[in-house]
Amino acid sequence: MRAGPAQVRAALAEAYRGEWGVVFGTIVRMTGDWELAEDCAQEAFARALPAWGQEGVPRRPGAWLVTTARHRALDVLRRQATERGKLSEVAAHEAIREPQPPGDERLRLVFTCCHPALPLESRVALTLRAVSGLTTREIARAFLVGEDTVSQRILRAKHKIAGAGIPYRVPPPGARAERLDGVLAVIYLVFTEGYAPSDGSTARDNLAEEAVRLARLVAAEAPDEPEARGLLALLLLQHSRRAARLDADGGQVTLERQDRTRWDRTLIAEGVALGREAVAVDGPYTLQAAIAAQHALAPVAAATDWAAIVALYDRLLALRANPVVALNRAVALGMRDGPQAQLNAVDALCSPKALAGNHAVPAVRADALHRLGRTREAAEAYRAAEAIAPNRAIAREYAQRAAEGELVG
Amino acid sequence: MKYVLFVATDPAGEPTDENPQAWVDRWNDRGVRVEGMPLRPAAETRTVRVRGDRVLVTDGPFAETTEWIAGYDLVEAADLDEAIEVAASHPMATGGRIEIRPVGPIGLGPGTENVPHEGDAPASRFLGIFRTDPGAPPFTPEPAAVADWVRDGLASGRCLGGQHLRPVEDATLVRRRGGKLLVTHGAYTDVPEWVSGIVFVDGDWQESINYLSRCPMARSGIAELREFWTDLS
Repeated sequence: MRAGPAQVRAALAEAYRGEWGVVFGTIVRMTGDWELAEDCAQEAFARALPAWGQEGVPRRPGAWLVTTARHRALDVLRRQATERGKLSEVAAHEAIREPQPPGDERLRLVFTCCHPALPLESRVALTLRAVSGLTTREIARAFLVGEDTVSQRILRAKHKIAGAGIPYRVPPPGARAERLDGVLAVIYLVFTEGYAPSDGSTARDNLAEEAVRLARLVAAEAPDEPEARGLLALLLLQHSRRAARLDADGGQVTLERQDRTRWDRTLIAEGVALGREAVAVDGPYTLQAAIAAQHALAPVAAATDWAAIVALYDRLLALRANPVVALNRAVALGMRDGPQAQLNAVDALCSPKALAGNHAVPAVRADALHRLGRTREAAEAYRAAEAIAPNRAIAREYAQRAAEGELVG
Repeated sequence: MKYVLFVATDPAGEPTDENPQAWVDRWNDRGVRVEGMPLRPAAETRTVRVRGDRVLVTDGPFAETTEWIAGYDLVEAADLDEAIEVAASHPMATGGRIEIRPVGPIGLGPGTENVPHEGDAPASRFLGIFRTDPGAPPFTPEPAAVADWVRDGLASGRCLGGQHLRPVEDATLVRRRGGKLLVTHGAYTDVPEWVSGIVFVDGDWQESINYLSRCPMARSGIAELREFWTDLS
């Protein structure tokens, strides 16, 4: 059945987002050649547009694309083999043709792209390119680095995979838990870069969405890993608030003041259900998901169960001392026990060095001082926060609060 | 695939009482460890360079770093994951660091089959470590001249084999700290020069220096000569 050009383009865009990793991964598994796999996957998607326009969108677009890419790869290999007179190599390639479940293929790709022997920024770039099909330009834009830098990172990572013998597989059970940590860290990094960019610019939802897709994939394919489900739950819960967390000027709206009717209830239901299952095992992501669930479940900010949240932060800190977690705990403690407890907790943060330059430290102090009625000191602390705020919207917010305090004081 | 593990010291390492012999036995029994040897301290190193017609021999290692290569092991692992497993179980992964470098093939033609030597080193054996040198004048060694140098060394017994290493960009660093395994990208130390190959040399200091100084690579880079430990007690 012939399809209209708009329908074909939509089907192709859909297939690209869903199947790029499968098509690319299949050719990597078949040939071990990451460059060739990229060429063949691109070729298959390029051929799809005219072919589907003529013959209609296939019933299983993914299978069509994989077959087309595989034929292309075999053509190239056959030509190379003829040039080298090594036909047995092609015979060997032909042997690897049993189709793999798509999840397996992409999971193998994710684990290979996130191999700990690759530098972290390459892991991120390679995962987004190979698994998600983002172009180097899109990746460069998302991370605000040059396109050349991204292509260099990807190129070097591909060379290292070939040169150092990084295997294309999901690691064996013994090494899997430890490798999974690295995979989850990359996905979390992609998410936070989309949700709260490190340069303080406004959120990039497409990157956050991509991270949610990757987290779904890993959680679905690694069902016995509570941390994988914990990460997915955490991302879903954070992502559910995306419509409410920025004001018209792009300034951050604190959790307390967010319009909770704008939170995405479907994502919350899914995240809470997942988090509830996963939190039986203490892990950094499961506990953070449980904290996010406590916020999501409170119908109004005042109804938040701060005692439960403080207890969860204590479990999180027991896993690993982390200054940012300790700061967040101080805020929760302030909500449970009052501003003096918050002030004491902030001042007792044991590693001021690790938090140096973090605008949240003076801001949390300022909040406690303000609530204690120490208005002048609060205004000073807000000025300190303003001076190191990561972007203008946040700086403006602090300046405003400081000005209010200065007027009163 | 073959990998060389460079066992490096680390001023920030943790003391360990793990037994290196148990590690050696474990991987020898599985046929993964091909060979390896601890090296005498960096202070006993000689650096050999040939610039123009002059042979420059200086005391000490070339790169001035607080860490230095304390030994090496050659392993035949299925892939980088297995090489990491081997390195991670080495006692020095706790007390120092292990740098994994893939070994690249080097086709020098007939008569240069460059297999590393077997067995433990007697007193007269040295390890020549080839390094790059960004400060060296441009010089591309003739493959034929390198092949001659290898063939001559093998025939005369001064060369016991060697390995050509893939670039430092392919290095992987393995450490155990506080009971956690840390696997990271890169070499154990960040210097613009890097190890590009190793060769086993038999002879006394002078003979070994003479042999190394005739290597074409000593013109484009640097050859470091390190003696093996012979008394491990």
